[in-house]
Amino acid sequence: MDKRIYLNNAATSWPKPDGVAEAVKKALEALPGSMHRGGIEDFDVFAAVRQRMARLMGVADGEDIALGPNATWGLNLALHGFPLEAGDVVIATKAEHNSVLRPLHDREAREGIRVLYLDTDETGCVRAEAWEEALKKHRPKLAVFPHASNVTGAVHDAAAMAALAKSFGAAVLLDASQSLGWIPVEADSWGIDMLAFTGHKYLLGPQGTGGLFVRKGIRLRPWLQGGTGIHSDLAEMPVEMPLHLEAGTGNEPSFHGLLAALEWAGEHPLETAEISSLVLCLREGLQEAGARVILPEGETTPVVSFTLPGESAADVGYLLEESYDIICRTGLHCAPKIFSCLGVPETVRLSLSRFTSREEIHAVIEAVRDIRG
Amino acid sequence: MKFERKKVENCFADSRTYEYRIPVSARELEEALPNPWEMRRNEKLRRPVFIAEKEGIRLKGILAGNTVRASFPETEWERRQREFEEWLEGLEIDLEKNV
Repeated sequence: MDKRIYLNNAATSWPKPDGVAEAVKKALEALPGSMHRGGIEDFDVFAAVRQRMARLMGVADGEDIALGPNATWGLNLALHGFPLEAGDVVIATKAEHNSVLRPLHDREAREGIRVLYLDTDETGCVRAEAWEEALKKHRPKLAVFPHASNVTGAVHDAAAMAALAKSFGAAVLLDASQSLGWIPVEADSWGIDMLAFTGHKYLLGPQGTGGLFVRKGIRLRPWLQGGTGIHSDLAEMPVEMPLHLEAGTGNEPSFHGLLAALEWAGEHPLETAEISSLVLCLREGLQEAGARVILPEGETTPVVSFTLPGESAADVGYLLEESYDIICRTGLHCAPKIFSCLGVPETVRLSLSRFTSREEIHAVIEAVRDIRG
Repeated sequence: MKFERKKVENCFADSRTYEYRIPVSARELEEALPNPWEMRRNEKLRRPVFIAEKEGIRLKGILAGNTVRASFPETEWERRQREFEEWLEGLEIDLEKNV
Protein backbone atom coordinates (compact mmCIF):
# COMPACT_ATOMS: atom_id res chain seq x y z
CA MET A 1 0.00 0.00 0.00
CA ASP A 2 1.20 3.49 -0.85
CA LYS A 3 2.37 5.28 2.31
CA ARG A 4 1.59 8.74 1.01
CA ILE A 5 -1.31 10.66 2.50
CA TYR A 6 -3.88 11.26 -0.20
CA LEU A 7 -5.96 14.39 0.35
CA ASN A 8 -7.06 15.18 -3.17
CA ASN A 9 -10.41 13.42 -3.17
CA ALA A 10 -12.24 16.42 -4.58
CA ALA A 11 -10.22 15.81 -7.75
CA THR A 12 -10.60 12.06 -7.74
CA SER A 13 -11.15 9.63 -4.90
CA TRP A 14 -8.55 7.22 -3.63
CA PRO A 15 -8.51 4.53 -2.41
CA LYS A 16 -11.47 2.86 -4.02
CA PRO A 17 -13.64 0.47 -2.01
CA ASP A 18 -13.07 -3.27 -2.08
CA GLY A 19 -14.47 -4.82 -5.20
CA VAL A 20 -14.11 -1.87 -7.58
CA ALA A 21 -10.81 -2.88 -9.16
CA GLU A 22 -11.93 -6.48 -9.30
CA ALA A 23 -15.15 -5.51 -11.08
CA VAL A 24 -13.21 -3.54 -13.71
CA LYS A 25 -10.80 -6.43 -14.21
CA LYS A 26 -13.62 -8.95 -14.56
CA ALA A 27 -15.38 -6.76 -17.10
CA LEU A 28 -12.21 -6.47 -19.15
CA GLU A 29 -11.71 -10.21 -19.10
CA ALA A 30 -15.32 -11.11 -19.87
CA LEU A 31 -17.12 -10.90 -23.20
CA PRO A 32 -18.32 -7.35 -23.85
CA GLY A 33 -21.90 -6.66 -22.85
CA SER A 34 -24.74 -6.34 -25.25
CA MET A 35 -24.81 -2.54 -25.44
CA HIS A 36 -28.57 -2.07 -25.78
CA ARG A 37 -28.85 -5.13 -27.95
CA GLY A 38 -29.33 -7.80 -25.29
CA GLY A 39 -32.43 -9.57 -24.19
CA ILE A 40 -33.93 -9.81 -20.76
CA GLU A 41 -31.43 -12.47 -19.72
CA ASP A 42 -28.43 -10.27 -20.50
CA PHE A 43 -26.92 -8.18 -17.75
CA ASP A 44 -26.78 -4.55 -18.79
CA VAL A 45 -24.38 -2.70 -16.52
CA PHE A 46 -25.54 0.68 -17.83
CA ALA A 47 -29.15 -0.10 -16.93
CA ALA A 48 -28.08 -1.28 -13.49
CA VAL A 49 -26.08 1.90 -12.89
CA ARG A 50 -28.97 4.06 -14.14
CA GLN A 51 -31.32 2.36 -11.70
CA ARG A 52 -29.00 2.93 -8.75
CA MET A 53 -28.18 6.48 -9.79
CA ALA A 54 -31.89 7.30 -10.09
CA ARG A 55 -32.40 6.24 -6.47
CA LEU A 56 -29.32 8.13 -5.34
CA MET A 57 -30.30 11.41 -6.98
CA GLY A 58 -33.99 11.08 -6.20
CA VAL A 59 -35.45 10.79 -9.69
CA ALA A 60 -38.20 8.45 -10.82
CA ASP A 61 -36.84 7.09 -14.08
CA GLY A 62 -33.28 5.90 -14.67
CA GLU A 63 -33.85 6.16 -18.41
CA ASP A 64 -33.67 9.94 -17.98
CA ILE A 65 -30.00 9.58 -17.07
CA ALA A 66 -27.46 9.62 -19.89
CA LEU A 67 -24.18 7.99 -18.95
CA GLY A 68 -20.83 9.18 -20.20
CA PRO A 69 -17.22 9.69 -19.18
CA ASN A 70 -17.51 12.42 -16.56
CA ALA A 71 -19.41 15.42 -15.25
CA THR A 72 -17.71 17.69 -17.79
CA TRP A 73 -19.35 15.62 -20.52
CA GLY A 74 -22.73 15.96 -18.82
CA LEU A 75 -22.35 19.70 -18.28
CA ASN A 76 -21.31 20.23 -21.89
CA LEU A 77 -24.31 18.25 -23.13
CA ALA A 78 -26.57 20.40 -20.99
CA LEU A 79 -24.97 23.77 -21.67
CA HIS A 80 -24.41 23.33 -25.38
CA GLY A 81 -27.66 21.48 -25.92
CA PHE A 82 -30.10 23.64 -23.98
CA PRO A 83 -32.18 25.76 -26.38
CA LEU A 84 -31.02 29.37 -26.10
CA GLU A 85 -31.07 32.22 -28.56
CA ALA A 86 -29.08 35.43 -28.87
CA GLY A 87 -30.00 37.74 -26.01
CA ASP A 88 -31.26 34.96 -23.75
CA VAL A 89 -29.91 35.19 -20.22
CA VAL A 90 -28.22 32.46 -18.21
CA ILE A 91 -27.53 33.00 -14.54
CA ALA A 92 -24.62 31.20 -12.95
CA THR A 93 -22.30 31.77 -10.02
CA LYS A 94 -18.67 32.70 -9.61
CA ALA A 95 -18.19 29.34 -7.92
CA GLU A 96 -18.51 27.50 -11.23
CA HIS A 97 -15.90 25.09 -12.49
CA ASN A 98 -14.39 25.60 -15.94
CA SER A 99 -16.61 22.79 -17.20
CA VAL A 100 -19.46 25.28 -16.79
CA LEU A 101 -17.58 28.51 -17.47
CA ARG A 102 -16.04 27.45 -20.76
CA PRO A 103 -19.15 26.09 -22.48
CA LEU A 104 -21.06 29.20 -21.40
CA HIS A 105 -18.27 31.44 -22.64
CA ASP A 106 -18.35 29.61 -25.95
CA ARG A 107 -22.09 30.17 -26.38
CA GLU A 108 -21.73 33.77 -25.30
CA ALA A 109 -19.04 34.35 -27.91
CA ARG A 110 -20.61 32.39 -30.73
CA GLU A 111 -24.33 32.76 -30.20
CA GLY A 112 -24.71 35.99 -28.28
CA ILE A 113 -26.36 34.64 -25.16
CA ARG A 114 -25.80 36.69 -22.00
CA VAL A 115 -24.31 35.07 -18.92
CA LEU A 116 -24.36 36.69 -15.49
CA TYR A 117 -22.06 35.33 -12.81
CA LEU A 118 -23.23 36.10 -9.31
CA ASP A 119 -20.73 36.86 -6.58
CA THR A 120 -20.37 34.38 -3.77
CA ASP A 121 -19.66 35.29 -0.19
CA GLU A 122 -16.17 34.84 1.22
CA THR A 123 -16.79 31.11 1.68
CA GLY A 124 -18.02 30.31 -1.82
CA CYS A 125 -21.82 30.46 -1.46
CA VAL A 126 -24.19 32.73 -3.34
CA ARG A 127 -26.47 34.52 -0.92
CA ALA A 128 -30.17 33.71 -1.31
CA GLU A 129 -31.12 37.40 -1.60
CA ALA A 130 -28.63 37.96 -4.43
CA TRP A 131 -29.92 34.88 -6.23
CA GLU A 132 -33.53 36.03 -5.95
CA GLU A 133 -32.73 39.59 -6.98
CA ALA A 134 -30.87 38.45 -10.09
CA LEU A 135 -33.66 36.07 -11.07
CA LYS A 136 -36.25 38.78 -10.62
CA LYS A 137 -34.25 41.36 -12.56
CA HIS A 138 -32.97 39.27 -15.46
CA ARG A 139 -35.58 36.49 -15.88
CA PRO A 140 -33.04 33.95 -17.16
CA LYS A 141 -33.94 31.00 -19.34
CA LEU A 142 -31.44 28.87 -17.48
CA ALA A 143 -30.04 28.97 -13.95
CA VAL A 144 -26.87 27.02 -13.19
CA PHE A 145 -25.16 26.47 -9.87
CA PRO A 146 -22.83 24.02 -8.17
CA HIS A 147 -24.34 22.06 -5.32
CA ALA A 148 -20.99 22.32 -3.56
CA SER A 149 -17.92 24.42 -4.27
CA ASN A 150 -14.90 22.36 -5.30
CA VAL A 151 -12.69 25.11 -3.86
CA THR A 152 -14.15 25.62 -0.39
CA GLY A 153 -16.57 22.76 0.28
CA ALA A 154 -19.44 25.21 0.86
CA VAL A 155 -22.82 23.69 0.02
CA HIS A 156 -25.66 25.61 -1.58
CA ASP A 157 -29.24 25.11 -0.48
CA ALA A 158 -30.11 23.48 -3.78
CA ALA A 159 -33.78 22.98 -2.94
CA ALA A 160 -34.31 26.66 -2.14
CA MET A 161 -32.25 27.96 -5.08
CA ALA A 162 -33.98 25.65 -7.54
CA ALA A 163 -37.42 26.59 -6.21
CA LEU A 164 -36.64 30.28 -6.63
CA ALA A 165 -35.29 29.80 -10.13
CA LYS A 166 -38.36 27.81 -11.12
CA SER A 167 -40.65 30.46 -9.71
CA PHE A 168 -39.09 32.96 -12.13
CA GLY A 169 -39.42 30.59 -15.06
CA ALA A 170 -35.85 29.38 -15.38
CA ALA A 171 -34.80 25.82 -16.07
CA VAL A 172 -32.33 24.60 -13.47
CA LEU A 173 -29.03 22.83 -14.06
CA LEU A 174 -27.34 21.52 -10.93
CA ASP A 175 -23.66 20.61 -10.99
CA ALA A 176 -23.54 17.81 -8.42
CA SER A 177 -19.95 16.79 -9.19
CA GLN A 178 -18.82 17.69 -5.70
CA SER A 179 -21.85 16.53 -3.76
CA LEU A 180 -23.40 13.33 -5.03
CA GLY A 181 -22.36 10.52 -2.72
CA TRP A 182 -21.68 12.94 0.10
CA ILE A 183 -24.69 15.23 0.38
CA PRO A 184 -28.21 13.83 -0.11
CA VAL A 185 -29.76 14.89 -3.42
CA GLU A 186 -33.48 14.88 -4.23
CA ALA A 187 -33.65 16.15 -7.78
CA ASP A 188 -37.33 15.41 -8.33
CA SER A 189 -38.63 17.01 -5.18
CA TRP A 190 -36.26 19.98 -5.57
CA GLY A 191 -37.44 20.59 -9.13
CA ILE A 192 -34.01 20.15 -10.73
CA ASP A 193 -34.31 19.94 -14.52
CA MET A 194 -30.80 18.74 -15.28
CA LEU A 195 -28.16 17.32 -13.00
CA ALA A 196 -24.57 16.52 -13.95
CA PHE A 197 -22.56 14.08 -11.88
CA THR A 198 -19.29 12.22 -11.82
CA GLY A 199 -18.69 8.67 -10.66
CA HIS A 200 -15.09 8.98 -9.51
CA LYS A 201 -15.27 11.50 -6.70
CA TYR A 202 -17.59 10.86 -3.73
CA LEU A 203 -19.27 7.94 -5.45
CA LEU A 204 -15.86 6.23 -5.26
CA GLY A 205 -16.01 4.70 -8.72
CA PRO A 206 -13.31 4.70 -11.39
CA GLN A 207 -12.47 7.63 -13.63
CA GLY A 208 -14.34 7.55 -16.91
CA THR A 209 -17.79 7.51 -15.35
CA GLY A 210 -20.34 10.28 -15.08
CA GLY A 211 -23.53 11.50 -16.61
CA LEU A 212 -26.44 13.83 -16.94
CA PHE A 213 -30.01 13.57 -15.71
CA VAL A 214 -32.51 15.39 -17.94
CA ARG A 215 -36.09 15.84 -16.82
CA LYS A 216 -38.76 14.70 -19.26
CA GLY A 217 -39.94 17.67 -21.28
CA ILE A 218 -36.49 19.27 -21.51
CA ARG A 219 -35.24 18.65 -25.02
CA LEU A 220 -31.52 19.09 -25.48
CA ARG A 221 -29.94 19.30 -28.88
CA PRO A 222 -27.61 16.30 -28.88
CA TRP A 223 -24.22 17.92 -28.82
CA LEU A 224 -22.49 14.61 -29.42
CA GLN A 225 -23.75 12.47 -32.27
CA GLY A 226 -22.88 9.03 -33.54
CA GLY A 227 -23.73 5.39 -33.28
CA THR A 228 -26.37 4.30 -30.80
CA GLY A 229 -26.74 0.63 -31.70
CA ILE A 230 -30.42 1.10 -32.63
CA HIS A 231 -32.29 3.26 -35.14
CA SER A 232 -29.21 3.11 -37.30
CA ASP A 233 -31.28 4.05 -40.34
CA LEU A 234 -32.03 7.50 -38.92
CA ALA A 235 -30.02 10.51 -40.00
CA GLU A 236 -30.51 12.10 -36.59
CA MET A 237 -29.99 10.89 -33.05
CA PRO A 238 -32.95 8.91 -31.66
CA VAL A 239 -35.34 11.09 -29.67
CA GLU A 240 -35.66 8.66 -26.81
CA MET A 241 -33.53 9.02 -23.71
CA PRO A 242 -30.92 8.07 -22.83
CA LEU A 243 -29.85 7.26 -26.39
CA HIS A 244 -30.67 10.81 -27.47
CA LEU A 245 -27.51 11.92 -25.69
CA GLU A 246 -25.39 8.77 -25.72
CA ALA A 247 -23.36 8.33 -28.89
CA GLY A 248 -20.58 5.81 -29.19
CA THR A 249 -19.50 2.83 -27.14
CA GLY A 250 -19.80 3.27 -23.41
CA ASN A 251 -17.00 2.63 -20.93
CA GLU A 252 -18.31 -0.71 -19.79
CA PRO A 253 -15.40 -1.75 -17.53
CA SER A 254 -15.44 1.53 -15.62
CA PHE A 255 -19.21 1.41 -15.18
CA HIS A 256 -18.84 -2.10 -13.75
CA GLY A 257 -16.44 -0.50 -11.31
CA LEU A 258 -18.91 2.26 -10.52
CA LEU A 259 -21.65 -0.29 -9.95
CA ALA A 260 -19.41 -2.14 -7.51
CA ALA A 261 -18.71 1.15 -5.70
CA LEU A 262 -22.43 1.97 -5.51
CA GLU A 263 -23.19 -1.49 -4.15
CA TRP A 264 -20.40 -1.13 -1.61
CA ALA A 265 -21.73 2.28 -0.54
CA GLY A 266 -25.19 0.76 -0.16
CA GLU A 267 -23.75 -1.73 2.30
CA HIS A 268 -21.56 0.85 4.05
CA PRO A 269 -23.65 3.99 4.58
CA LEU A 270 -21.63 7.17 4.94
CA GLU A 271 -21.00 8.13 8.58
CA THR A 272 -20.58 11.86 8.30
CA ALA A 273 -20.13 12.53 12.03
CA GLU A 274 -16.59 11.10 12.21
CA ILE A 275 -15.48 12.82 9.01
CA SER A 276 -17.04 16.13 10.08
CA SER A 277 -15.04 15.82 13.26
CA LEU A 278 -11.87 15.28 11.18
CA VAL A 279 -12.69 18.33 9.05
CA LEU A 280 -13.18 20.40 12.21
CA CYS A 281 -9.91 19.07 13.65
CA LEU A 282 -8.10 19.94 10.42
CA ARG A 283 -9.54 23.44 10.24
CA GLU A 284 -8.62 24.17 13.86
CA GLY A 285 -5.17 22.63 13.55
CA LEU A 286 -4.40 24.64 10.43
CA GLN A 287 -5.59 27.85 12.07
CA GLU A 288 -3.42 27.14 15.11
CA ALA A 289 -0.50 26.56 12.74
CA GLY A 290 -1.03 30.07 11.36
CA ALA A 291 -3.00 29.28 8.22
CA ARG A 292 -5.85 31.38 6.92
CA VAL A 293 -8.60 28.81 6.50
CA ILE A 294 -11.80 29.35 4.51
CA LEU A 295 -14.63 28.44 6.85
CA PRO A 296 -17.98 27.75 5.21
CA GLU A 297 -20.90 27.60 7.58
CA GLY A 298 -23.40 24.77 7.90
CA GLU A 299 -23.21 21.61 5.87
CA THR A 300 -19.99 21.17 3.87
CA THR A 301 -18.18 18.59 1.83
CA PRO A 302 -14.89 17.35 3.33
CA VAL A 303 -12.85 20.08 1.63
CA VAL A 304 -10.59 22.48 3.49
CA SER A 305 -8.98 25.32 1.56
CA PHE A 306 -6.32 27.54 3.09
CA THR A 307 -3.41 29.87 2.53
CA LEU A 308 -0.27 30.41 4.57
CA PRO A 309 0.76 34.03 5.05
CA GLY A 310 4.08 34.72 3.37
CA GLU A 311 4.05 31.52 1.32
CA SER A 312 2.62 30.89 -2.11
CA ALA A 313 0.11 28.08 -2.47
CA ALA A 314 2.44 26.52 -5.04
CA ASP A 315 5.30 26.37 -2.53
CA VAL A 316 3.10 25.01 0.27
CA GLY A 317 1.71 22.31 -2.00
CA TYR A 318 5.20 21.44 -3.23
CA LEU A 319 6.55 21.15 0.29
CA LEU A 320 3.61 19.07 1.49
CA GLU A 321 3.99 16.69 -1.39
CA GLU A 322 7.73 16.48 -1.84
CA SER A 323 8.86 16.85 1.73
CA TYR A 324 5.98 15.18 3.56
CA ASP A 325 4.33 12.84 1.03
CA ILE A 326 0.99 14.62 1.43
CA ILE A 327 -0.92 14.89 -1.82
CA CYS A 328 -3.09 17.96 -2.11
CA ARG A 329 -4.16 20.39 -4.83
CA THR A 330 -3.05 24.00 -5.18
CA GLY A 331 -3.95 26.93 -7.37
CA LEU A 332 -7.25 27.94 -8.91
CA HIS A 333 -8.82 24.47 -8.84
CA CYS A 334 -10.32 25.09 -12.31
CA ALA A 335 -12.72 27.60 -10.75
CA PRO A 336 -11.00 30.91 -11.46
CA LYS A 337 -13.90 33.33 -10.90
CA ILE A 338 -14.45 32.45 -7.24
CA PHE A 339 -11.16 33.89 -6.05
CA SER A 340 -12.22 37.51 -6.35
CA CYS A 341 -14.96 36.67 -3.87
CA LEU A 342 -12.79 34.66 -1.50
CA GLY A 343 -10.26 37.49 -1.27
CA VAL A 344 -7.25 35.27 -1.98
CA PRO A 345 -5.48 34.68 -5.31
CA GLU A 346 -5.24 30.90 -4.91
CA THR A 347 -5.44 28.25 -2.20
CA VAL A 348 -4.07 24.96 -1.01
CA ARG A 349 -6.91 22.47 -0.95
CA LEU A 350 -7.08 19.38 1.22
CA SER A 351 -9.99 17.07 0.46
CA LEU A 352 -10.76 14.09 2.64
CA SER A 353 -12.63 10.89 1.97
CA ARG A 354 -14.40 8.42 4.18
CA PHE A 355 -11.07 6.55 4.33
CA THR A 356 -9.06 9.46 5.76
CA SER A 357 -7.75 8.75 9.27
CA ARG A 358 -7.21 11.01 12.27
CA GLU A 359 -3.50 10.13 12.18
CA GLU A 360 -3.31 11.47 8.64
CA ILE A 361 -4.99 14.72 9.69
CA HIS A 362 -2.53 15.14 12.56
CA ALA A 363 0.36 14.49 10.17
CA VAL A 364 -0.90 17.23 7.84
CA ILE A 365 -1.24 19.73 10.67
CA GLU A 366 2.28 18.92 11.85
CA ALA A 367 3.63 19.37 8.34
CA VAL A 368 1.95 22.76 7.93
CA ARG A 369 3.30 23.77 11.31
CA ASP A 370 6.82 22.84 10.15
CA ILE A 371 6.40 24.74 6.91
CA ARG A 372 5.15 27.79 8.79
CA GLY A 373 8.31 27.50 10.94
CA MET B 1 25.04 18.97 -17.55
CA LYS B 2 22.41 16.91 -19.26
CA PHE B 3 18.88 17.00 -17.93
CA GLU B 4 15.37 15.74 -18.61
CA ARG B 5 12.50 18.22 -18.68
CA LYS B 6 8.78 17.81 -18.18
CA LYS B 7 6.05 20.41 -17.97
CA VAL B 8 4.21 20.32 -14.66
CA GLU B 9 0.46 20.34 -15.06
CA ASN B 10 -1.06 22.52 -12.41
CA CYS B 11 -3.91 24.88 -11.81
CA PHE B 12 -2.29 28.28 -11.50
CA ALA B 13 -2.87 31.33 -13.63
CA ASP B 14 -0.21 31.74 -16.34
CA SER B 15 1.54 28.61 -15.23
CA ARG B 16 4.96 28.05 -16.77
CA THR B 17 6.35 25.39 -14.49
CA TYR B 18 8.77 22.66 -15.49
CA GLU B 19 10.52 19.89 -13.64
CA TYR B 20 14.12 19.04 -14.41
CA ARG B 21 15.77 15.74 -13.58
CA ILE B 22 19.47 16.38 -13.18
CA PRO B 23 22.45 14.03 -12.78
CA VAL B 24 23.45 15.55 -9.44
CA SER B 25 21.60 16.32 -6.23
CA ALA B 26 19.51 19.45 -5.86
CA ARG B 27 21.88 20.40 -3.04
CA GLU B 28 24.80 20.44 -5.47
CA LEU B 29 22.80 22.49 -7.91
CA GLU B 30 21.79 24.92 -5.20
CA GLU B 31 25.41 25.34 -4.13
CA ALA B 32 26.35 26.07 -7.72
CA LEU B 33 23.78 28.82 -8.15
CA PRO B 34 25.53 32.12 -8.75
CA ASN B 35 25.10 35.14 -6.47
CA PRO B 36 22.13 36.94 -8.01
CA TRP B 37 19.84 34.13 -6.89
CA GLU B 38 17.96 34.90 -3.71
CA MET B 39 18.29 31.73 -1.66
CA ARG B 40 16.21 30.15 1.05
CA ARG B 41 17.06 26.78 2.50
CA ASN B 42 14.89 24.98 5.03
CA GLU B 43 16.72 22.15 6.77
CA LYS B 44 13.98 21.65 9.37
CA LEU B 45 11.48 20.01 7.06
CA ARG B 46 11.25 16.24 6.89
CA ARG B 47 13.09 16.35 3.59
CA PRO B 48 15.05 19.60 3.55
CA VAL B 49 14.48 21.90 0.59
CA PHE B 50 15.85 24.96 -1.09
CA ILE B 51 13.88 27.68 -2.83
CA ALA B 52 15.73 30.17 -4.97
CA GLU B 53 14.49 33.14 -6.96
CA LYS B 54 16.01 35.36 -9.60
CA GLU B 55 14.17 37.91 -11.72
CA GLY B 56 10.90 36.06 -11.40
CA ILE B 57 12.29 32.58 -11.99
CA ARG B 58 11.51 30.41 -8.99
CA LEU B 59 13.56 27.27 -8.51
CA LYS B 60 13.04 24.70 -5.80
CA GLY B 61 13.99 21.17 -4.93
CA ILE B 62 14.40 18.60 -2.22
CA LEU B 63 18.09 18.91 -1.37
CA ALA B 64 18.72 15.19 -1.38
CA GLY B 65 16.69 14.61 -4.55
CA ASN B 66 17.73 14.92 -8.15
CA THR B 67 14.79 16.86 -9.55
CA VAL B 68 14.18 20.58 -9.31
CA ARG B 69 11.11 22.56 -10.27
CA ALA B 70 11.35 25.89 -12.05
CA SER B 71 8.54 28.39 -12.59
CA PHE B 72 9.10 31.08 -15.18
CA PRO B 73 7.59 34.55 -15.16
CA GLU B 74 4.75 35.38 -17.52
CA THR B 75 6.74 37.98 -19.44
CA GLU B 76 9.17 36.53 -21.93
CA TRP B 77 8.97 33.17 -20.27
CA GLU B 78 10.30 31.31 -23.30
CA ARG B 79 13.43 33.43 -23.44
CA ARG B 80 13.92 33.11 -19.69
CA GLN B 81 13.47 29.37 -19.84
CA ARG B 82 15.95 29.10 -22.71
CA GLU B 83 18.50 31.11 -20.76
CA PHE B 84 17.95 29.02 -17.67
CA GLU B 85 18.40 25.80 -19.60
CA GLU B 86 21.51 27.10 -21.31
CA TRP B 87 22.90 27.94 -17.90
CA LEU B 88 21.94 24.48 -16.62
CA GLU B 89 23.64 22.83 -19.57
CA GLY B 90 26.74 24.90 -19.01
CA LEU B 91 27.00 23.73 -15.43
CA GLU B 92 27.92 20.22 -16.44
CA ILE B 93 31.69 20.53 -16.31
CA ASP B 94 31.86 22.24 -12.93
CA LEU B 95 29.44 19.91 -11.30
CA GLU B 96 31.04 16.80 -12.68
CA LYS B 97 34.32 17.97 -11.18
CA ASN B 98 32.60 18.15 -7.81
CA VAL B 99 31.02 14.70 -7.99
